[in-house]
Amino acid sequence: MKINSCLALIICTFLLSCERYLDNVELPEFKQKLVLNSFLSPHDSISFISVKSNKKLYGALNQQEATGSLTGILSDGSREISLIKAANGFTFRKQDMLLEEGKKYTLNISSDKGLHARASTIIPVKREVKIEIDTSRVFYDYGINTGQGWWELRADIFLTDYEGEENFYSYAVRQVIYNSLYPWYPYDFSFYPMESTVFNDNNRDGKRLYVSTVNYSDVSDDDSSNLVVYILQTDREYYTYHHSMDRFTSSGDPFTEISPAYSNVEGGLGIMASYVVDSLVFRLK
Amino acid sequence: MRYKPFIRFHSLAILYIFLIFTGLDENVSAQQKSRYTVSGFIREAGSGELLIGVNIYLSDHKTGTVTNTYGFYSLTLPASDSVTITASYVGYSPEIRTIALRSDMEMNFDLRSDILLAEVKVTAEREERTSQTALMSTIKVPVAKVRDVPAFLGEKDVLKVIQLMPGIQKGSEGSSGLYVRGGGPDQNLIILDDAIVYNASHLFGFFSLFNGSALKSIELTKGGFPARFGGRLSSVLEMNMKEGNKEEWQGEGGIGFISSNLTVEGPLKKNKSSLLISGRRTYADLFLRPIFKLSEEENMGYYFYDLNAKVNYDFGRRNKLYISGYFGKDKFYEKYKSSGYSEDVGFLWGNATATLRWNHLFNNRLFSNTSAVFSNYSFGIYDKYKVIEENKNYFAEYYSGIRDLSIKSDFDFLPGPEHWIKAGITGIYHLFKPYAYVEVDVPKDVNERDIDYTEGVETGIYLEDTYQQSDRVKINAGIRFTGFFTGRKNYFNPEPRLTVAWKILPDLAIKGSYASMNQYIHLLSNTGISLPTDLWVPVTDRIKPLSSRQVAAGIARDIDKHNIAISVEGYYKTMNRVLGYREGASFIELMEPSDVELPDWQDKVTAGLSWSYGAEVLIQKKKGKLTGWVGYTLSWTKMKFDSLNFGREFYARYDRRHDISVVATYKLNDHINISGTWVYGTGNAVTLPLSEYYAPYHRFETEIPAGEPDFEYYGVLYSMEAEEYGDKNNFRMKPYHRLDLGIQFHKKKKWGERTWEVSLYNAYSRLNPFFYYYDNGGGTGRLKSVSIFPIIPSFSYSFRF
Repeated sequence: MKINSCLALIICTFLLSCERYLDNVELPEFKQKLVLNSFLSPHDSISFISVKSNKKLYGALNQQEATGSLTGILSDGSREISLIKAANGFTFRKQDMLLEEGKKYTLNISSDKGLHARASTIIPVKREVKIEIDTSRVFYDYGINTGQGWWELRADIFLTDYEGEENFYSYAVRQVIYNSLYPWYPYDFSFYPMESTVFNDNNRDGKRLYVSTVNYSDVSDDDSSNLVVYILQTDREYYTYHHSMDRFTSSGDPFTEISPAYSNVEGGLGIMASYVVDSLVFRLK
Repeated sequence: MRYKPFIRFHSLAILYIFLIFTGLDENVSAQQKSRYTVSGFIREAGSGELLIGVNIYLSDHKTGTVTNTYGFYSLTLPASDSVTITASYVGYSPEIRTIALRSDMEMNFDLRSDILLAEVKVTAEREERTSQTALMSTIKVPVAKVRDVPAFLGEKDVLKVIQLMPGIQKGSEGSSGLYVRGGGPDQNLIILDDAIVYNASHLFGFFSLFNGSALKSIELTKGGFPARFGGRLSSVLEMNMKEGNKEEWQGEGGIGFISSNLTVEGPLKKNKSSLLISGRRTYADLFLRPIFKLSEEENMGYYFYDLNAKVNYDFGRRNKLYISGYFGKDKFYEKYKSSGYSEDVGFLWGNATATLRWNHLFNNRLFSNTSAVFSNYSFGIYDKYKVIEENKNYFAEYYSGIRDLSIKSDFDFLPGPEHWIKAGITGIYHLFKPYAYVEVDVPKDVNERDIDYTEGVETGIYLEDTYQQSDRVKINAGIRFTGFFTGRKNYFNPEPRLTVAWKILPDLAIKGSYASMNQYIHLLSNTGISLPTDLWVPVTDRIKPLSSRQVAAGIARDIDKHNIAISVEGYYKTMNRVLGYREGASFIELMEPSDVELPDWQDKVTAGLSWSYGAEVLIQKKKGKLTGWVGYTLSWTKMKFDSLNFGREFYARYDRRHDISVVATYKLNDHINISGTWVYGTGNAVTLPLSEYYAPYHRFETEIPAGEPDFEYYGVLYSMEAEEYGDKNNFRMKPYHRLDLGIQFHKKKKWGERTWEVSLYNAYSRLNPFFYYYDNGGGTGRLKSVSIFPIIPSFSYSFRF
């Protein structure tokens, strides 16, 4: 037994993994960049462009990288406006720059630290997509006939893709509940998507597309309620970015293929994308 | 019914081949009455083992041939009063005979091993030399060399030796996977006695299945593929088991650090029939039991074993029959037993192959081999649960695998020394089991079986000719037609092949080749290491066959004075519809059987382009006290997938700019051999983050709240710190290099010979990176490197009797 134990110990000693910091390896050099995030829509009366800095990954991590003093310009190709500074970036109002379907808009952000970032988006042209909705509602009792439990509301959303072009979509669902007994009603809440909100018409050009979402709530004592479905017709950048976010995996798992977040910002990081909105109100009760 | 078009096509093809050969043979017979054929088999003296690739040379005619896989040769020559024939083979004493050729005649050779003639130093007058053969990009590894090269934990490993050749790389530390000229490990066709071996490794890839003691020949082709090979894009590794000594019983064995092996062979009927059995088993589980015994009730362990067996019967010159098989298994288990219940869970996986081969000599110019082959690979997770008092049982098992049934016929037709025509046909029925789940729960009266089977038929038919156009020019030209029938879709592809060797000097040849290949089955594997969960899956309606085109050119030179052969080759290979894993896909999912979920594998993969180019240098010294080789590879491997790296091209993970291997064995005296290998490789390409940044997921808002909204939350469903990456595989790990040393002490004993071997793996304990990961502990961001094998000494004892 002693011999066996000794041999086992020797084998394990040699097979033990060796882990060490790589101090003498040339790590990727940190380049500070501006990080822009903006999702523009003609629907919005005020639009926001978030601007931050990326952060170091190697070396001392105790200091935040400041963006410096920023200036921002939005151009539609024929006209430029200076953006209004806000807490974490810039804003602009509809009346300052009207966002029009089919038109290209370009953002130029600069900082006094010599950082520049530039990105563009073309606002999609809104198409008729014939939104349809089908719902089902199931009550789950906590026990047996206690009357206490939760409701599962499932919404199946259909739309017809506009044929002959590559289209990208996103969706949002909101439920509005009315009850005259409570002063704070109507109560309005959004469905939290269980899976990705973006989809496209790949291999389904011109066909009926379908997404489904489910919401759970304990709200049942309502007089009436409406379901509002929003279909966002987006540009390709919006889809690609969110799709990459859905699949994002970092380098923490050596056995998984890394899936980075998509960026369309020249000289920087982040995303500038756009969408137009169509909606359908469906009365549940 | 579904396979009718294939059956019809291939029946016609067989008939056509037969008619060609019959017609050719009659034609040859009619035209060459003044020519006669000398043919026969070449065996090893003392064992009767048929020898592959023996050079038969006629110095008067300056022509010759080599024996085929079954030791057969045939030469048709003009009638002559005196023909001098030399049979020579590396490691054997050559045999020279002079005959008068006035009729067809049979002439067999029994070559004596140099080992048996230790005191007689004979140098083969003429051997098949690198500059002589029409083939290029082909490596023959002498089995004896596998024994000489120092090995990890003393486990002699065929695949690890092959990794030391130029153009062939390993994936990661310790792995036995082969990456040949930019191709992945699933692009290698590994054949053992005509049976395809699907998972060629034990212990997560650290050891290969192949027990060198049972092997007779090892040959790897990485380009310029003759038409007889097909089914994979990057290489064909063909191994043949020994037949077994037909004259006397003998054996060899070894006791190593983690396993022992024993091979026994001998005649069942002297000079007619023989048997070979070879087995190996690890005993690490026995030694590790005290450590793995987690408590009195619970213990765990791991072991593997493999078994090779072969029987043959020689019915005479015309017919020979061989039956061979391989069976191997790995098992990892955990057992728990208390007074109330017992549970046994584990993983087990393994290969099984069986081959029945029939050699038939139609006449002294036409040889055939027909094989019927069974091959099976399976992986399973099981859980057995028992409530002891109530005698209630629960059993669940998940398993996956692939099973093949195949038939192939190959014909060798040798109408004269100028031509060696080969033709053949193969049909493989594949049964894929990507997913199967079985659950039996007696108390709950559950008896569930959920099994997903996919089948396919793969076919191939080929015709090739090795044509000696002149003293200087030798050509191997051929075509292979391959097909795959999925049940819903047929794929059919012609594959032209050509190799031309032009001898510009007696010992210097220039060679060029072109090969087109298709591959109809794929391996879904994790990213870099070999796991039993890897799944073989077929082409489908959505997943099209992989295809490749490869051109290569090179020079080969033999320097007889120093027994040195030098070859330099350059190649360019494109591979289309190569499968990669979609970003974010993970394949490490070992769970309880009932938790296994296998989404459609087609959703996890994406297809793209890959191309590889480079140059390889191999300098070999095959004879003398000092033997070995130096290999150098300069290569580039790039890939481009629409859905990876945002459509931009990137370097493959195993792209390796420089790869060097130096292998040397020095025979100090009759009792001591010293050996060493040194390898160097550019670090693997990996993807490292450059920085991190705020990334919000947009949420559609219908109203803007009063005042300026908090844009950290407004319009944001959630946010995360995304990592900024440059291009995929934008960073190189540290170079890999390692020195292995070994010393063998041989001693003759009354009963045979014994050998003690002491070896050092990674002699200077280089901590080669296995993988890197990011760590930001203590407020400092750094990379951590994980290495798995520092210096590892081992010793082993082996014997022959």
